[in-house]
Amino acid sequence: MERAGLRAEQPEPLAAGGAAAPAGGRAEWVPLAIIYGLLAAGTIFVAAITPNFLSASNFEAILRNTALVGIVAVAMTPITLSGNFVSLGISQSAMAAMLGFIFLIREGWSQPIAVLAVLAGLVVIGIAQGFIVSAGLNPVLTTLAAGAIIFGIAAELTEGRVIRMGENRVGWGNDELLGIPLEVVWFAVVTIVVTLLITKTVIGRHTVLTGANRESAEISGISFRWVTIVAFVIFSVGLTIAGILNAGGFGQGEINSLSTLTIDSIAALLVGGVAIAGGEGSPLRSAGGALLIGVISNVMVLNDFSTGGRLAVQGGVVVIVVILLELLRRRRAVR
Amino acid sequence: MRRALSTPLALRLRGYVLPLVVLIAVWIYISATTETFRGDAAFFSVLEGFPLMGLVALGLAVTIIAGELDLSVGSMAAVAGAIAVRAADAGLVGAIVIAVAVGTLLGAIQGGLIAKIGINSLVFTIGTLILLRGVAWLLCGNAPLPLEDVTVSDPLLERYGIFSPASITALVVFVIFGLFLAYTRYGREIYAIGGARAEAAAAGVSRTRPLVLAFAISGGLASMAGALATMRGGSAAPENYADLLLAGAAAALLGGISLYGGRGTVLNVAFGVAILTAVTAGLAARGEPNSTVQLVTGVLLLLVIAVEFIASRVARRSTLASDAGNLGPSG
Amino acid sequence: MTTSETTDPAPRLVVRGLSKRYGSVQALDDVDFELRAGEVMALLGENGAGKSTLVKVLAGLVQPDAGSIEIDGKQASLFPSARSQAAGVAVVHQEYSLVPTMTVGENLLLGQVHTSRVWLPFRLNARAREIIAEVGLEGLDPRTPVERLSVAELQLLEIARLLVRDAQILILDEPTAALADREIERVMDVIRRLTEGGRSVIYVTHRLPEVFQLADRATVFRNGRSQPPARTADLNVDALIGMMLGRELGAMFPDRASAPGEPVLEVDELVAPGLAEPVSFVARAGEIVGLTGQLGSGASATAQAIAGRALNTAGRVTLNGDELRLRSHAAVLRAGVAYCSADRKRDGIFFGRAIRENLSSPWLTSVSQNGWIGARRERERAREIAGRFAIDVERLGSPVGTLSGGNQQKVAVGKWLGTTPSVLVLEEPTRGVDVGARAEIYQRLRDLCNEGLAIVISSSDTAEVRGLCDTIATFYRGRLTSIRPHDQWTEEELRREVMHETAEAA
Repeated sequence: MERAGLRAEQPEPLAAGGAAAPAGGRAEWVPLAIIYGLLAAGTIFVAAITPNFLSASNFEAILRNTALVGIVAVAMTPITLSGNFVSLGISQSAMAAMLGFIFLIREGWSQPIAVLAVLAGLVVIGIAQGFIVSAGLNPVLTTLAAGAIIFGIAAELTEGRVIRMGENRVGWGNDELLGIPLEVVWFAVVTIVVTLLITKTVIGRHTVLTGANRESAEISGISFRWVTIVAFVIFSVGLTIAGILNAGGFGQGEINSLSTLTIDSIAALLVGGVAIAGGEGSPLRSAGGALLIGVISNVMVLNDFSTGGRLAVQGGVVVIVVILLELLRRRRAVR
Repeated sequence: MRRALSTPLALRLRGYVLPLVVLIAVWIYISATTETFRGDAAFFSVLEGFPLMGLVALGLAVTIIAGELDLSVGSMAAVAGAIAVRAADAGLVGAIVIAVAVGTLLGAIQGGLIAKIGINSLVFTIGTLILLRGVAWLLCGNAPLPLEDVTVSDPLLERYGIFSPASITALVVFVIFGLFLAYTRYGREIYAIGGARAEAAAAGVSRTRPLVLAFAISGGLASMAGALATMRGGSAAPENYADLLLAGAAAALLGGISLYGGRGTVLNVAFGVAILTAVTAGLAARGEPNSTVQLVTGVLLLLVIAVEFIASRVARRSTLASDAGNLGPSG
Repeated sequence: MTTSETTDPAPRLVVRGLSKRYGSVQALDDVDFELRAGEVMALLGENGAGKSTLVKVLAGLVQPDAGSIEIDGKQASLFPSARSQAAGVAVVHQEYSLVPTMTVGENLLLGQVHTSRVWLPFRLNARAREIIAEVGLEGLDPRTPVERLSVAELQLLEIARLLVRDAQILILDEPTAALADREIERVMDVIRRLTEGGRSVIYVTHRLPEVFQLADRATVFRNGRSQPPARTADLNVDALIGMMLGRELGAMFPDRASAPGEPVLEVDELVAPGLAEPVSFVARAGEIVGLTGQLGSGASATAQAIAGRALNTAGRVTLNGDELRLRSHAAVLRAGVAYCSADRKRDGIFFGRAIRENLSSPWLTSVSQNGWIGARRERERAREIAGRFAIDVERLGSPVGTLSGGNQQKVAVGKWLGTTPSVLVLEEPTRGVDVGARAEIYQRLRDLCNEGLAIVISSSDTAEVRGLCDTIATFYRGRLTSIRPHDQWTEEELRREVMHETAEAA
């Protein structure tokens, strides 16, 4: 190996997470199973002693409340798997999709066209961010900035007011498919589709490999730019779905709608055990994380936790799971 | 002339030229187009940016210099605000000191966990961002929490010419940390682990101490910012200060702190804070809403990271080019 | 050595019976070593002969299984590194320990144990000036950021760091690998000056001229064992080379092909970072070309340039007549040149992923339809490749990290088979690979050649190159010094070419 002068390369320090440790192997999943088992057991226990938890309507409420977060978390998973961390502009982008759809419907556009228009818009924004990030700019700050820009533009356009569909209000807002609420159906669909994409397509495999070891991927001829852009496109589709579903559900919205989406989806991803360093995790885990947080939230609401209490517990769960998973990773790598 | 521009002193000063020029340009433009941003009023406005955005930017900058990023600063400021209000019985200074102490301790714990367990600071501070926000809500009792005795914070409402007690405090803090980062061993270690972490480890620099320090500083400064602002405002709101992350990061980077770590001084942060505050004040004077301020901040942030990225690519190519002729007996 | 024993100074460092085993490899086998005060002791030997393990033991990074160490007559334990430093031992490794964004003065004090808490520039720089003067950097302003220093100045600064700690035993690991002639002189001057002050230096190197110019004695390592130190005044180049030879090659290398075919890869006046002169050679179908040289020789630089991994190249490289766009690795790959670096952990394998996924990573699209992975075809082709490389085909779903080093290397190399390349460029193909796997890899490489592939190998292991390759090109200090068919090389000649400037090169 040649040693050529002092390195002029600037490593990206904010991208320096722990290396992805070996996944799989038979005994490897045991500690992971223990962590999640305990978490689930604890939750079930608390849930069992909570009044009104064990009822069909409550389970439906859990699913409904979790659905949007789940869709976004699953859709963001390819970005994270590829080593591009997370987007901090989630809320704003989903809000833009939501308001865009409401606006177009109000103006009398037909639904399919409105959906396509919003989808196109978000995909374009997504590709732009993907390009910038794949060129090498810090993904976290880029998406943070993009979110602020989208927020500002949306505020300009709406003048801070509530936008309503008005008389054109769509009818499917509260629809159910075979007794399952629409957003839950979409949650399942998005999870299945993204999982298939990751596990069964070339680009999906390339995404995972890129996150596992970017240099190896590059030497193997895998294009980081392509992987990143596709990841952002998938994400944009998920955001569009979430935004439009929310629009249909409420019939109106304003710039602060969906403001908690960023935190909630990232929390779902982290609790699900998707490694921010890339290469470890799956869309299924993100979905699982969303459900877990959803159940915990639900239990807290039923027990009359305050907003602060719920947030604190949610944050606490994220911190604890993240620490435990990292410790687990270190132990496996050492072996 | 070329030699003069390359002396160590000149090199250090070169890092300030661009932010200074930008600051002057921005100042002139906004003064020209905004009546209320002129003379003393302008100076006062800009200085008033230091107690809140400035302190947060400074703390954030220290973590960036260390090669990390503290995303929890907004939540930390909110927690500190709530603590200060609840501790108002200890007097103005006492309340603020308590809030800062708690924030510093929390920050130190974050730094310690990040160092010892080796978690990516981005991941960890997203978690603490949520956790601390929840704590802020709890401390506030899930509703805005006003000071029992509003007169406690009256001293903060004074004004001495272009200064206020808060801005003076902030400036003093800037000077203290400027000295700390430049002239103490612990301060320089922070630069070392940020500038070249593997090399610093090879040189024997401990990883834990500088990280704990960096996050303790970030937590402490964010707390001071939150405590000062909340006491001045008279009431703590649980959802406060969520925008501070964007503003603080933009200010630090605009002033010349490098995203790649290991570079930049407190003076750089000061320039950045001045620039962003001037821009914000200009927009506010024109009646633009907060969302527009966010938009402009976002654009500026994007621009500055793009510019730094391009500059680093250009520098990289030229270094490697000279490497090509480096070897061989001709020397 | 015997006649002047009574007048020679007593040894400062005495190592006896040192042994260290890593798994199945005996890195150090009952090694004796000694070092006198004020002397420069050269440490020589092939890669893997035990030099670096000895250095690690002395630096306190590794604990030996057996043996004793005495410093100045007293028993000493040098593990962990803090104890080694306290005992006065300091090492300049090949990896840098300087922070580029900080100044010379700051870097000198960084990480040192006994420095004050306040670093006032005035005192810091005054002290720095004294120290760097000792290494010949008098004119250097200690406020200069380290990123502005030349490679030689960096090297001297690393040595200066050791002086801050007042080390008495300095270990320098290939300090001149990246330096030009004049700079090497400078470094050697500094080292001489240091020993005049009574310090002892262990000088690890592959460059014989420096051994003779600088060292008082030389200790040669071979197969984990050390030979008694010899005075350099009593030696010459041939004698030294003779001491280093003698590893059992035996049946490790497969038979060569009869006659190579048409030229496949033509390298014409290639210029790249790391090369002092343009390089030209030809690789034919069915041929294995070996580029051999030590650190900084240009062999690795050439291999990387051909594979499109170097940034600023000039010259022409053609593949079957078509010119390669060397600026783009992806383009070179598409054209049919596959590349394996020397560091498989960094960029050769996907450590946490299944073996099958590793094997299929470069050719996944070719077993896919419209973007959907053809899982069955992937499995089949992966099985086929694994079978050819003697990787257990039943375990292809396990993570590649569970394989031994040798098998991991087979994966790193084997994955390229699925892309049907025309040329395979490999760097250090058997680094960190046990003997059994080595033989297998060599056999596979030869099989591939027999099917028409051209292979270019860059390796610092001259024995490997001599046993495996059809044509061998030697490199020294950025130049291709000699290129001949394998039967025109003896091992001594090879060694000499990579360690020493001969009359041929000029």
